[in-house]
Amino acid sequence: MIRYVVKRLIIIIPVIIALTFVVYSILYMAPGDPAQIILGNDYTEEAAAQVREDLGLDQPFIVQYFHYLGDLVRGDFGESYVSGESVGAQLFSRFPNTFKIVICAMIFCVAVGMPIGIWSAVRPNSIFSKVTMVIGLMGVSMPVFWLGLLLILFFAVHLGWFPASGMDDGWKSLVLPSLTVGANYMANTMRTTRSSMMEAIRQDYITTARAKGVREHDVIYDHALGNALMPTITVVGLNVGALLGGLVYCETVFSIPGTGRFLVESINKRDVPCVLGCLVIMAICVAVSNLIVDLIYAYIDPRIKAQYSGKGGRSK
Amino acid sequence: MKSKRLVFAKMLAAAFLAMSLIGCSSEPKQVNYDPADLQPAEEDNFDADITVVQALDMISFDPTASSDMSNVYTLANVYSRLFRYSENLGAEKELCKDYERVSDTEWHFTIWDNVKCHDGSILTIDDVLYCLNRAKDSPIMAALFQPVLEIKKVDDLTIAITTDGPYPSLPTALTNVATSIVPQSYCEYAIENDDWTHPIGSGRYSFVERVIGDTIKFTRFEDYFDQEDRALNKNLTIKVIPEGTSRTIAIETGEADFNAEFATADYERVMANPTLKLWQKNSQTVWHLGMDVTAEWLDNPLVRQAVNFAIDRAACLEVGYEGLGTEVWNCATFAPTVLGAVENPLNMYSYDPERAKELMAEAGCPGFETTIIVFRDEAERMATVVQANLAEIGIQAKITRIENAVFTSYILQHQAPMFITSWGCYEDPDLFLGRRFTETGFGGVNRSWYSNPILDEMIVEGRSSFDNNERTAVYKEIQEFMATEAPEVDLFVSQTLALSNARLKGVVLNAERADKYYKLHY
Repeated sequence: MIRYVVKRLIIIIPVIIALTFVVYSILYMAPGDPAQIILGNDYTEEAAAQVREDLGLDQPFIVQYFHYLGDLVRGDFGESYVSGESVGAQLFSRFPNTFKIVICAMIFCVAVGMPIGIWSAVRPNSIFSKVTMVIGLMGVSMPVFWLGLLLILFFAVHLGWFPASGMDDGWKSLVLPSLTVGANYMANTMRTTRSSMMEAIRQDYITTARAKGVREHDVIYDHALGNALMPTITVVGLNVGALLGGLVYCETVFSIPGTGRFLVESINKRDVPCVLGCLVIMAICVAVSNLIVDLIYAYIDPRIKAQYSGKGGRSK
Repeated sequence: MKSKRLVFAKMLAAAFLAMSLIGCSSEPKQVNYDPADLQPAEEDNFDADITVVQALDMISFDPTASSDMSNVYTLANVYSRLFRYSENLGAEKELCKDYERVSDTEWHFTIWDNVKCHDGSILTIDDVLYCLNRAKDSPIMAALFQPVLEIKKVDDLTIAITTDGPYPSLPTALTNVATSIVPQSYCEYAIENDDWTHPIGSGRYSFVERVIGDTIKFTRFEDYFDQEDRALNKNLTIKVIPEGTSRTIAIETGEADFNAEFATADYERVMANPTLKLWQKNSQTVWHLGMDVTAEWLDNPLVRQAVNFAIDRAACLEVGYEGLGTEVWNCATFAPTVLGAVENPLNMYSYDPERAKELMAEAGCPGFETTIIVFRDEAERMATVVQANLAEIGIQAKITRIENAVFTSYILQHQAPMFITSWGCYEDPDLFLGRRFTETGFGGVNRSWYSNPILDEMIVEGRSSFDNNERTAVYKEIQEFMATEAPEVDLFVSQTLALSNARLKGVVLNAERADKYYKLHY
């Protein structure tokens, strides 16, 4: 198992290199000269040439890229083209906020989405099931920024229960952003759980269990749920990457100094080191979350565990 | 039964939510900015903690790093400059106690004596000299300090600045953020270590803390050199909220006291709320439709004049800026409060599509296709009006929205035959004419690619006198000349808007935006 984990962690390295190369190339080719953006109204050809020289932008693409990569290998994310400040320091300051919201949103997705999905699968024709399906549809189709503004107006302005912006109020600051960004994925989790549970409930072994007189509670939670969980875990794992994307809007609406907002601001300024820094951190998050999902598979499904441990499978 | 109750409860909640939102709109009430409100009363609270929200984070505490507005108005709290902005973006003395023009080309500036810095050290004239020379070498000051030949020390409190000719707008040039005075020792340390994170200056506040992308906190510097003009609040927090409606909400909920950059989309909602106060003042920000004078047909002044006659400025103002501004009829970005500004040079222009058609015929132009480049929401809305106006005289314009970041590239590559943007004027036109309408600004802020030797001469003439009456006459001539050249269509001057709760006092708006946060108090 440990070997597998180490192997998976090592695979992250070429993924990061490929990612930085693609993003660096895209930003290099994208219209918009960082020197022009930095100088703004003070632009002159001479000043721009000076800025390009200072930032090393007058070097060929491949030289610039390998220079960046060399620094990255040493753990140096470089310096912002615009502010000159360390990208690593800025990420270190912002990432904890993003991480907190992702964790809270994931908890919301799982803690609300899964039970509702299970209940609506067990009673598929009930009003509860139909209402939750409608809510699920709304959750999937509602844009993050719009839902965020509605929640702010209702819970922050009218009721005054939660702060409208920032991260200054401890756990209260996390509630609305987590609900906003998590609503969409909660709906996804709910719908996936519902459909996989309904599929599982129809299986012969469930009928057999019922025929043997097993309690309905045990039939659902011991027999059906364990088998229905795999697709749900896959969706939850994939949600981490999607959540990070959703945070780009959410952090803007709620004025949260996180990685998502930093990414948008950096793209707007063509601040390549900052953009790459954000994406590297996000890529690592996605890769690690996928790894965790795989490990949970192994925990739940003995067949997969056997493969990892080399006792029964192809991976040997 | 239970389920039905649940559905009913949800419907009720949805209805309440909808009614709450609808209830937010009603007839607007006008509240105007009044400088008389600035006078503090004895019973006022001068120890309040004030939170100001703005759209963008500052960039760096290095004064020469950026002239971005968010940076300018943040650094003004921690550093002193020889001069600061006056209400119309002219110069008023700050660290400079006195100044004298010794000759047409030499000025002496004397600073306050015994100016303390936040680290307890005394600010010296060597610090001033060092910082001004550093500014002179920075790209930000390349244009503004172009006439400056030398900066030297005269005595322990005085520096001399020598220029290559008369430069009446030198004090205004010295309001630029890049000329902020930082103790030399700290500046050298910050440069060497590439660390500007704990700034030391001699401004009204000392730095406390910065959370990147979120907040910057300052506390009142009790030893500020001008005790009569010290901060009227104890702690100042500048909070970054990028989204306009979220900034408004921060004031509504009391999370912040003052929104320095109000978004017009919330205008009616705010006007209906008696606990809020919207501060409005005419700015010197001129929204204009620029034309690349090298583009086909637009290289003909008659066609450009036709465009000037064809555009309905009132509609642009209404659609683009909720009517919050004043129409202008200039072609050289002179806001009405700029030195020598003429309302409608030669009384030439009005909204007259028939006259526009005549001019198109006179130019032999059968109409053509073009593109209007925009990168802001307001401009995009205005562009729809302009597009319809141009269609009436046979010009088929396509609207293209681009990112702000690539606008300069579009200009440099002549890909912006028409564009809508804004320009914030200094009070002294010499500080923008040379950059906007001469070869010096090509690819920079001369987005029209316009230059003319006659205009060049007039700009030099406007700079050569220290008598404002003489200068006013020259600038009138320039505006008349530019009305016939018509490289742009000035549409309107927008209003500076800021929002606070109704109890806040000491709000100051200049012709660009909210200023002097140190005066905010309760």
